[in-house]
Parts: sequence; C-alpha cells; structure tokens
Amino acid sequence: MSVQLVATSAIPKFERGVRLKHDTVRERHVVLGPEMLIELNQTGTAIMNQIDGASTVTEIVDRLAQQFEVNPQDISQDVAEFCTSMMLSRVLSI
Amino acid sequence: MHIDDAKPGPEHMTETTIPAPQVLLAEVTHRCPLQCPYCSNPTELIKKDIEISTADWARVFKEAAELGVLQVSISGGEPAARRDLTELIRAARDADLYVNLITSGIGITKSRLDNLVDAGCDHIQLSLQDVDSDGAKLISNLNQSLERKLEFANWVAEMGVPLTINAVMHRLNLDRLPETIELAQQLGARRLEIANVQYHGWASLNKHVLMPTQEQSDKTNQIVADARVKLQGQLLIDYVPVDHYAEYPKSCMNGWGRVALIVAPDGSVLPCHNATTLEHLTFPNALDQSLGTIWYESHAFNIYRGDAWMPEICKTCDRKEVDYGGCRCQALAILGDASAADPVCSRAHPHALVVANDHVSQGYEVGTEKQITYRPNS
Repeated sequence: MSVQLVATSAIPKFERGVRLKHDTVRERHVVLGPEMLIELNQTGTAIMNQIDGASTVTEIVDRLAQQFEVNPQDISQDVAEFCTSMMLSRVLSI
Repeated sequence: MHIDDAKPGPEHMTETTIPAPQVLLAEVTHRCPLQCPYCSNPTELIKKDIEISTADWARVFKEAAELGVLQVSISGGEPAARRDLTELIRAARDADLYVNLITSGIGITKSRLDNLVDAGCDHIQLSLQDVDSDGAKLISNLNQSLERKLEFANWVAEMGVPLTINAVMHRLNLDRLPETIELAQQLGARRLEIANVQYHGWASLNKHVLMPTQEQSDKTNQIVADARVKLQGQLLIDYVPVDHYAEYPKSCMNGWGRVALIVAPDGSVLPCHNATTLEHLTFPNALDQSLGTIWYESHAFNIYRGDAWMPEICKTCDRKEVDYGGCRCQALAILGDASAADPVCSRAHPHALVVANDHVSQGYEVGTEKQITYRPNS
C-alpha cells in the first residue's frame, strides 16, 4: 500500500488527547493517546519536540538540521515519513 | 516506592527481571444500569458496601504511576454509578496518568460530562451493544439504550474529546458489522474496537445464544481487513477475533503479570478480569499491601509468569513468547486444569473446542431473551 507523504508546507500539530511523556521509570520518551502508547527513539523524540502547531515541516527540518549539524536534505525524507506515520496513527494532524 | 528493592527472585520466573506494569484497569464499581449477558465482570459481583473509597483510589493511582503505569482505564460496571467519578478522574490525572474512561454513557448528563472532562478525562470509550435499537435493548435489557448512547456520543464529539466506540460483537449482531463501522464514522470516533465476545464468566453462561458461526467469523475477518485499508488514517480499528475459531490462543492480557494489573471495586488486585475463577489462588488487596509488593512479590502474580509453569508442549513451542500460553481461565474452565495449554491451541489440543462449538444456537428469534442469563444491575 502506498501512502502519500505529508507536504513540506504542512503544519503538523498534536491531535487532542495526545501528549508526550518522559517515562522516568524506563528512561524513555513516549507518546500517550487513547489507549495508545508509542515508544519514541532519540530521533522521534527530537522531531516531536519540534511540533508546536505553528511550524511547517520544512521549518522543523531546518531546526533539526541545525541542532544535529547535518544537511536539511539528508533528513527531510525521514522527518516527512515520521510525521506521516504519526498522522496515520492519529497522533498528529495537519 | 522502591522498585529496585522489590525485585526478589520470583518463584517461577526464568527471566531475570519482571517488567514494570504499564496499564492499570481500575474497576471502580461493579454496579451498572445495563445487564449485558457477556459482561466481563465476574459472575459474583462485588457489592457497593465494600467498594473502596475515593482516597483509597487516589493512593492506588499514585502507587501505580510510581511503579511505571502510564495509562489508567477507569471502568466498571458503569464507573458513573460512583458519585465521586469526577474526583477519581482528577486523582488519576494528578498522579500524571493518561485517563481513559470506559463507559456505557448511561447516567451521565451533559453537565456531568463537562465536569469529567474538566477534571482531566483524556479519552472516552463508549460501549455499543448494537446499531439496531431492538438488538441493543435485547442485549442491554434497558429501553432506549441505543438512543441514549447516541446522544452521549454527540456531546463527546461537540466537546472534541477523542472517542472510541467499543462494539462488542456476537452471533446476534455480527451481520450488522458494516453498519457498525459506518456509525462509528458518523459519530466522529477516532477509534473503533471490534471486539468479539470472550467466552468467560457471564458470556460462557450465554454461549448458546452468543457464539457466532464459523461463517460469520470468516466474513468478519474480511470486513475488518477491508475497512482497515479503506479508513487508514481516519478510523483506527482494533480487532478481537473470535477466539474459539482461531488456530492459536490469544495473548491473554499480553501475558500474565507482564503489562497490566486490575484493581477490583473492593481493592483486590488481579492479573486479569476473570482471575477470581482461579479458585486455587488468593488475590492480595491494595488496602493491605503496596501495588509494588503485589506486582513483584505476590504468589498470584508470579505463578504464571515465565515458562516454569508451562506444560512441555508450550515450553518448547516457538510461540511461547507470542501468546504466553494463552488464557489460564479458559484452560481451567474447559480443560479443568489452569496450567494446561489454552484449549484454543491447535498444536496442544486439536479437538478440545469441537465439542464446545456443538452448542451453538440456531440464531435470533422471538423469545431469544428467555434463553439469556442477564447479569444483574448490582
């Protein structure tokens, strides 16, 4: 099944009833939603921390590139794929 | 809570560590305005006068969170039968838990719903007996139950709170599954649980009326697969197939004492809803011991952890980390041995369920309600 990636001009935001939590017992970051628990890796956590309901995917990519000192074009595909998968899980919407 | 102090070598574990629990099911009452004949409450319902207090629940939520629990499902019975439901929700949120409210929607007015949401209810799961009004009445044994639920669902949508429709499916309503999926969409649900009845407790008393046919079961698998593709990204669909027609057992509770714990209305702490049918076990109470001590140290939680308890066929099976041997209550109920492989397992018991399925009824007809054993309201 092919899924269309989120547009770079889109502004991802958290769906209502979804939040990030630092799980101190297991030392990890998770997404909590309706009977849903998604464990985030370091990359996922970094992307999610940039979701502010105001920034476009391009702006998020640029900030992450600066933060991790990489070229934006090297991470734009990963960020778009991550945001798309979060949209399919109804964690993010645009 | 000193989790590291609470990790002695459990008597039956082969793993070196016990994972911390992630989910708490808080059965705050067994009272309910509905009388569904597949209710997951035990057949011996706990009475109102021994329900634990608001303060006791607040302590349970706090201990659970410290132990590693991230999500609480406040359930029943009907949780709204407790007048302190708003306080319970607030206490769970104060403990920094994600709060799911599992409700029938009956007995919650719009202004009360407002209060529950203000108190911190994150998500509402609404049960649905049938999209057909007469079918809903037949199952709930309550007039106008469908109409009242639809009104409730509309309030939830107006408030923008995420909604899950929990559609419990069986022989009498499975043919209306496509309409059920459509209704969930119309109500603006984010999630739909298509949950076939699990035949324990009350449901096992009503198996002759509720057990679907093999044909219904096969058709359902296809409808769900198609809907998941069609509604991807819109409606998340969780599916619980008919266990008795499966080749392998369900991963009951994701393994005994692995992920979830249940606190019953009287404070007793259980590894699954139906564990009280395992009469050889004594279940500890949250009023007497901390949840950490119960989770890591109690005999009741340790007995079916790991693989030491398993029969040889499970111990050497490549699926033992997939289904953890399946359901202990079902093993006892059908095979008379709580340590046997789940009777559903086609490797362990090629013929165990053939007999059970002979009792399937011939369907919905006038007078069906007379063949039903309803659970009482309290």
